[in-house]
Amino acid sequence: MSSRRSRQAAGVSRISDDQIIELVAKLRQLLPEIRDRRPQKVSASKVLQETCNYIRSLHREVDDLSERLSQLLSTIDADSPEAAIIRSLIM
Amino acid sequence: MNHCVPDFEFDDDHSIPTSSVLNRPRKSAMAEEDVMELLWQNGPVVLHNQNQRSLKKSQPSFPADQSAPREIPSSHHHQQEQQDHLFMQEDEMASWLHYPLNDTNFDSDFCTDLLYPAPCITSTTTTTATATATPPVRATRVRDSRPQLNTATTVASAPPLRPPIPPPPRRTENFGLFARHMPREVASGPSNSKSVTIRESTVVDSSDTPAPGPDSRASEAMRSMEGASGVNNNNRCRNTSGAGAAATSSGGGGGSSGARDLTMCEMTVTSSPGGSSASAEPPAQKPAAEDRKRKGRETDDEYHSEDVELESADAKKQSRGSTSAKRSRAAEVHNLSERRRRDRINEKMRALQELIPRCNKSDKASMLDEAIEYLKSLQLQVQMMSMGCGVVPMMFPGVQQYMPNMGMGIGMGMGMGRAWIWE
Repeated sequence: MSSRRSRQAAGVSRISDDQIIELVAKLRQLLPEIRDRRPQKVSASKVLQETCNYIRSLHREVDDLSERLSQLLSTIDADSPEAAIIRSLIM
Repeated sequence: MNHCVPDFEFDDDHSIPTSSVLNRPRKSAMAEEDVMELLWQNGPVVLHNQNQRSLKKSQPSFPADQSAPREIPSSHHHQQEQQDHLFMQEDEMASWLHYPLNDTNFDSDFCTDLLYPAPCITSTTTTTATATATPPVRATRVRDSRPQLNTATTVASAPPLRPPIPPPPRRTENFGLFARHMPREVASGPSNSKSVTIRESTVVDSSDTPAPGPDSRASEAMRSMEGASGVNNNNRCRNTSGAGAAATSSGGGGGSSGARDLTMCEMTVTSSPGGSSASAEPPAQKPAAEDRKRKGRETDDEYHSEDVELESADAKKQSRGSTSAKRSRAAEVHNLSERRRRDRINEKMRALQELIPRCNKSDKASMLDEAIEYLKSLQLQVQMMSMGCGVVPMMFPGVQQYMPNMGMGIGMGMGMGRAWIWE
């Protein structure tokens, strides 16, 4: 009964509500920390927070790796295929 | 003719120095040049005008009072003569006239606050204003625009007058009325205070509405609207203005004349309650109906859609007045918690949006979509790079025994690496 009323109140938002729920669920699957606690109902804000943190950590990792790769690139010949690989990785 | 000229200059002296007081030195300087020219032509008049001007300059605040009565009698006499003269001297003053055209824009921004009481002032002093408007073109324009000015008598119409009034009448107001602005600001206390009080009343209204009273539903709606507006930047101003209108209608303040000022003032007023309720972002999309606000609110309730239903149910029951006290309190608590939750989520969404590069989506669903894709790509990138880091040390001898493990572990485009490692 109450759900019916809400459906009447907002027909379009219902759809986007489900979309958002689905997206948040997808995000949760990607996040390593929350994956174990999947059966639990995690709040959206927690998911978003974890996403932000994860993205930041990934950024840091990418920076570190690119730094390392560039260092490695300097150690080897520039013509070797590995150099090409590394260069492509660093972009 | 010569007799008229000094009077014309006389009037000019009235307006120019006072206007110069209001930071329009250029115009006064330009006017002074013309004045100087004319003075030079008329020997005996020089002393008279100089004396007058010195008098004006010594009393910057008061000449308006003196000029007003002086201008009134002379104005009617010399209006036409002024015009004739001014038309004749138009070439001389052409450059000077063109200049004010540029300045009016500056003045319109600069003296907007002065101008809004000005319309109500102009209505009372249109004749004198037009008389004291010295430049000929302006005088004619003032005449044309006088009906417009006359129509704009009430303060309420001041805000809508803002765009429609063409620059020339503004200029006349500036020139003719700057002389009057000083006294008018004092004298037209009622008219000014009216606008001020209307503003204050809006502030009072918006602050009073949360107070409990007979209109508990209205207050609750206001609170919920404020909360929603605080959270949903889309609808902040619109909701609060609507709520404010409802408040005034319920509180019986303002009336139609103050309504517009209310809407105008509430935009600024409610920004403070909106800011206090934690979301400080300026509204990205102002025009939005309450339905959208409602939808936006419900989109936020991903996991607590039932709470929204409860809210709406409570609000509806509130209107019926059944167990209103308990319901209202419960709904209040609900609203607050919902608002806080929504605030948190919106904050996180904004942070996420900043992290994602080249994210220009304002829609939550699409933004989350992009976030998911970006996260996946980031993960992939990190993986590839770590693999690449692993590739290079493989070149060194002694590390080869690790290669098979790496090759097995990572089955992604490392065939090439494997190939040259074993070469």
